[in-house]
Amino acid sequence: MEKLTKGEVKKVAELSRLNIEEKELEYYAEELSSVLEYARQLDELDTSSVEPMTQAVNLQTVLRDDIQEESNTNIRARAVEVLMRAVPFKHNGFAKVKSVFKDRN
Amino acid sequence: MTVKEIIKKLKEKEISSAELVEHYLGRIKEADGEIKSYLSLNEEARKEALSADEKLSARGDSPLFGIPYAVKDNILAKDLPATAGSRMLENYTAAYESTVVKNLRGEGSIILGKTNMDEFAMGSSTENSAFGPTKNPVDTARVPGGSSGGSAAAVAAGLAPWALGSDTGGSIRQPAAFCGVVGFKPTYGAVSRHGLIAMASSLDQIGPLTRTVEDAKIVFPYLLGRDKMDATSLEIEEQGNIKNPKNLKIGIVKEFLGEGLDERIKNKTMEALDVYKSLGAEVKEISLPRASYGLAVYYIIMPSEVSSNLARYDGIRYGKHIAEDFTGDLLDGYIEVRGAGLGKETKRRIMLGTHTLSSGYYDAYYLKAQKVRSMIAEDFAEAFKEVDVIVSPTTPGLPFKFGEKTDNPISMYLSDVYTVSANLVGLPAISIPVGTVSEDGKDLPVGLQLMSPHKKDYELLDIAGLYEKEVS
Repeated sequence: MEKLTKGEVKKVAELSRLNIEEKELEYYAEELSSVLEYARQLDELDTSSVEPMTQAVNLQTVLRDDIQEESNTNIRARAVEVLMRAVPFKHNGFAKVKSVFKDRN
Repeated sequence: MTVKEIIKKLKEKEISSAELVEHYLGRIKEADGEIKSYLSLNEEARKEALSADEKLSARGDSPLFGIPYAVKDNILAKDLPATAGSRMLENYTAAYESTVVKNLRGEGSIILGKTNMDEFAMGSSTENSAFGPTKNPVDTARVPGGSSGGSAAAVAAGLAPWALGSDTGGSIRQPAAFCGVVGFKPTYGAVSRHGLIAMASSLDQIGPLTRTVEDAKIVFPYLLGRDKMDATSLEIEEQGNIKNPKNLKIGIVKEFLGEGLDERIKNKTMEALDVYKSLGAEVKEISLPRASYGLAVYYIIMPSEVSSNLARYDGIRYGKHIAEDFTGDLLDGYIEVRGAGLGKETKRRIMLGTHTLSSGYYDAYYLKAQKVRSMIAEDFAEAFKEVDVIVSPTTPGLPFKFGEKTDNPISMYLSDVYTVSANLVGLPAISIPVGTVSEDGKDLPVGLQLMSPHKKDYELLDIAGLYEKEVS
């Protein structure tokens, strides 16, 4: 197993939406490589005929009848109020966030 | 005081709920300055206790009515903080109630406060909490274990009769072993995860930390139930018949007694098995040939799920947010906030998971790990054809000192080497205290882990209870 390069760590950090400073790249390269190295022991096992296990308990799909449920406007209004209390910046009852698109002018 | 003793005292009017809450708040004031097991206290606890005393007639047959408890800070209780031990959620207040807290509130239980933990439940020592570590009440120079270190320390120090924790790879059982209390991780799905701040969704499970197995059995039924808010939740039926120990077959895991295990812990494990033998149980060595790969599987699957679950911390929806005068665009904002709000271990695991799920690596890591996970499940299924319960030490080592393992993640990860398999396979597992080992003039607790087949939670509690009854 190749050790992760600083460039690869930079790429992973970018994908993870994490701000990793230049001086920390080496540290994370070491740390991540050591865990990946540890995980390589799984290569000792032949898994060619094994199905992957995606859940621990044999779960069933949960279904309900396709009937519209009573929507309680009071409960909804209260939920909105509670959630909006957690929003730091508001404008006319909307949550205000940074723009997604750059201004073209 | 145990929950059982408290129930008796409340029933016989020896003590009121208000006096109980006062007692624990007093204990917290006295001892928690040093131990630091709580991150926040419930300001309403006294009021809720007074109201419980007034409504005693409403108690009905609810044994937990008016009894206080502590809650790990990644489980939501409406209007109380829920930080998950992270700066990211430092100012977050829960907007709704987790199902498990709702159930307990319905029973008349009272929350004393929220307990400290490793950030987002990632760690085995509570040293990864953004708000500073919790100390082990047995020896304050040592860690309480983790990630439910605050809950374990609070119960051990008598700062709560019992507490809720969460267990993804051993986070209830390992701190229980380190602090000398009982820690129970039920079958995956037994307790609803609605309102649990997610770490690794296919592994996470809420469970109780208590002073005795008997107490775990008292509180367990009130945590359970199918929940329409959690499609992975399931019914656990009470088996309710204590097995005659003479017919009990116990399997001790050969692979968990080898390299890396502290000899003194091995001796304590064998002494505990002697107690079962003296009751007439049959003890035999079993092999889980692929369980030793459990930790490697865990350290691929868990970070993969973490990287996905923690994508929600974007600086917009809750917790730490992008400052209003921030001049970058939205993407710069995400990166800025996550960089500042998440700790080292959290970042490490997010990046690890992002890498193992990325194109070109998915098959080599994630898919491979899921296949070995199947093999480990097969090993357990085979073993359970021969024995009723599988036993091992809970941890390979004694509670360690602060800073001892912080520079070497792999050595920290090895604390969970015996506990992760139960999460990977979804089995119920419990850690019970089985004596102490003397070191540096302190008697350090040792835990024994017992594991049962899926949904045999009550049976597991009964089997663990046999030991407790015999030695107390």
